Amino acid sequence: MSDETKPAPEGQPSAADAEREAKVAAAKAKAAAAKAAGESVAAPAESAPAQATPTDADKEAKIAAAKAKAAAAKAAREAAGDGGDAPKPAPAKAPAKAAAKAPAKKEVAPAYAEIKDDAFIAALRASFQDDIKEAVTSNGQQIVRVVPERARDLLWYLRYDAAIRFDMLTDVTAAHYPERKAFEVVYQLYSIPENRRLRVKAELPEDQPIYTVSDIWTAANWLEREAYDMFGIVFEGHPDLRRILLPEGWVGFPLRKEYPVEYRHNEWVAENLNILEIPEGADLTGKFD
Amino acid sequence: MNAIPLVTHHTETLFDSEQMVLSMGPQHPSTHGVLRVILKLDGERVVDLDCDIGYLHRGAEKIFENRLYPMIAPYFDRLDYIAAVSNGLLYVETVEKAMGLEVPPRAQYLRVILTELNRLSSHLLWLATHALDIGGFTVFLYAFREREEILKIFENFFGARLTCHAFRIGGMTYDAYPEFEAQVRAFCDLFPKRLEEYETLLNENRIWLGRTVGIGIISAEDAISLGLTGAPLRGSGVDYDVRKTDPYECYADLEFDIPIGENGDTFDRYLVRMEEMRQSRRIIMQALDRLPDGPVMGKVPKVIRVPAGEVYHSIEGPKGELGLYLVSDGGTKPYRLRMRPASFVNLGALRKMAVGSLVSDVVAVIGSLDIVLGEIDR
Repeated sequence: MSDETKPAPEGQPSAADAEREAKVAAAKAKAAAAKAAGESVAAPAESAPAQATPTDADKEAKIAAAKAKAAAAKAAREAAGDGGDAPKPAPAKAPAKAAAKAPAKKEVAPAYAEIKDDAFIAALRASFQDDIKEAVTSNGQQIVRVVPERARDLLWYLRYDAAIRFDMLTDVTAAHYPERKAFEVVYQLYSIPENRRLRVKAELPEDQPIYTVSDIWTAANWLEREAYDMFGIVFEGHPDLRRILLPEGWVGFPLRKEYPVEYRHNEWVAENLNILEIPEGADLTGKFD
Repeated sequence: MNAIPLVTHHTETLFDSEQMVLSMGPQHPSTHGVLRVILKLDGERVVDLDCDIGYLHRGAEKIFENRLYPMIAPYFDRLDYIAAVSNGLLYVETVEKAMGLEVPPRAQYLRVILTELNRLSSHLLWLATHALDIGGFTVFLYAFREREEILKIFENFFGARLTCHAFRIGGMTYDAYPEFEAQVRAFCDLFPKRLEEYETLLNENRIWLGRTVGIGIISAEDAISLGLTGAPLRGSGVDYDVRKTDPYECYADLEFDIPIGENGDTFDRYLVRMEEMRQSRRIIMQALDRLPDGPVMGKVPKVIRVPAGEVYHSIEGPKGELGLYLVSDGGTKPYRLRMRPASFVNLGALRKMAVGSLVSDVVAVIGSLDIVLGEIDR
């Protein structure tokens, strides 16, 4: 496993993220180059140029070096037949989602396959025409993508009018895709009489609201509140849209990708928890790598 | 204080009285953790209520997005700490489903035995605390006695009583210890007698009946609309159990019944859970009889990498349908991992169930929902 001798982030815990990332990248690239076979072991601490406070020029040089090394490492890995994903320095997700990046080992099954021979889905498409962007399966589960403006209509239809009535709303949640500046609002439906599940997804631009479904299924009341709490998605027409898990007055929406993993809102803490001093050297920026 | 919409029930009472806002919890023992219920009262009657949750919020879903797949499993033990085995099962099964991994039959049977034991221990804790809340102290002691036996088995198996971290992606790390089968059988032999003891204390107890019959009624239609699952849904007469509708592990090979209630009140939910305990014992006995030999760990790649795509998987936890929605970008960490917590959705029904009842009945209804705040707040 990785060595424990990694020096504690000294002096300035608030060093800019970019700096850390550059360091991490440099360390990673070195490790990768050393290994060449693509085993992802944490970098030996000594190789990380973690000393002093680098200047901007320093930083850029490091980034450039890291990039070059990472590219070399990637080439080496690919040559070794490992496929491998982009050597992105930060633990943040690779921007290109899904896409044809799957490791080339087994036969590459597409992540999402078009639904072809399903009478119910076909009828749904016939009634909603172009408002249903696509109907696909992933891991054998049916997904209907709908334009956000019509999501409520579709859900209403599925609850009351469709050939299969989805009487239970199991879950409402979302996922954030910053590179598209959008959320995917996800509704998990279940039909008790037919024992069938369906997932409805609506891609919602970050600054747009979506209509609530809390009057269609009461369950959506709290679930939408949670989605609002975590992502900042505004559900228009919701009777009681306020934070549910986080306290009132919290700033930010934690499950957005740009929200840091380890982070303390010092002003909020000072005001509400009466902790006025943050201890010297407390690491509030540490990220898992 | 959060704004509670005005309800004008008090005008229906004989004397127009002033309304009072009472904060129950978050340290109140009957709220089973750190739930705060803000009650708006007209005398003893609840006019409106609001739940204040989130005291245990640890940002679990955010943490998941930044951990490798094998590193996530222990976090699940700490969500519903009463039913850590079930939670762990949910996680490993979801990843296995997304990766298309096969689990060896022996591991499947052991998983079922342990999960059902966990259901028993969870239900026993529910019975103990629920009875304690509404005045049955003896049952509390009795139920904890039996729960202890299960926890001893867990401790022998996993080395931990509550946060078991029982399963691994692809199977289990440990096979059963030598006396496991004998100990579980001994417990199963003993258990029906003990269940009868509880029922002797409760089923014809006037106080128990007075506190539970007709309290917190929820109709089947409302229960479905509220998304209730588990005993609160089945108590209202809806036959829905993920073990039957979408069998996982080896549940399809095992015989068991799904008990359902009629009236949807606190007493029916009690009956449903008592019968569920009998059925769990039945499942354990069958699984022990059929327990196959063989390995307990399947073939798993060294680096767990879930192919791009998404999957929703759910299991029947002791508290209801536990769902997990996994979105993967093909990497070693999930892009999004969303837990559908049964307790969270079930607690959302409290307002519907308790408004109009007495303050003391709110306690009974919270007890009969069987919530755990670690899972609600995540």
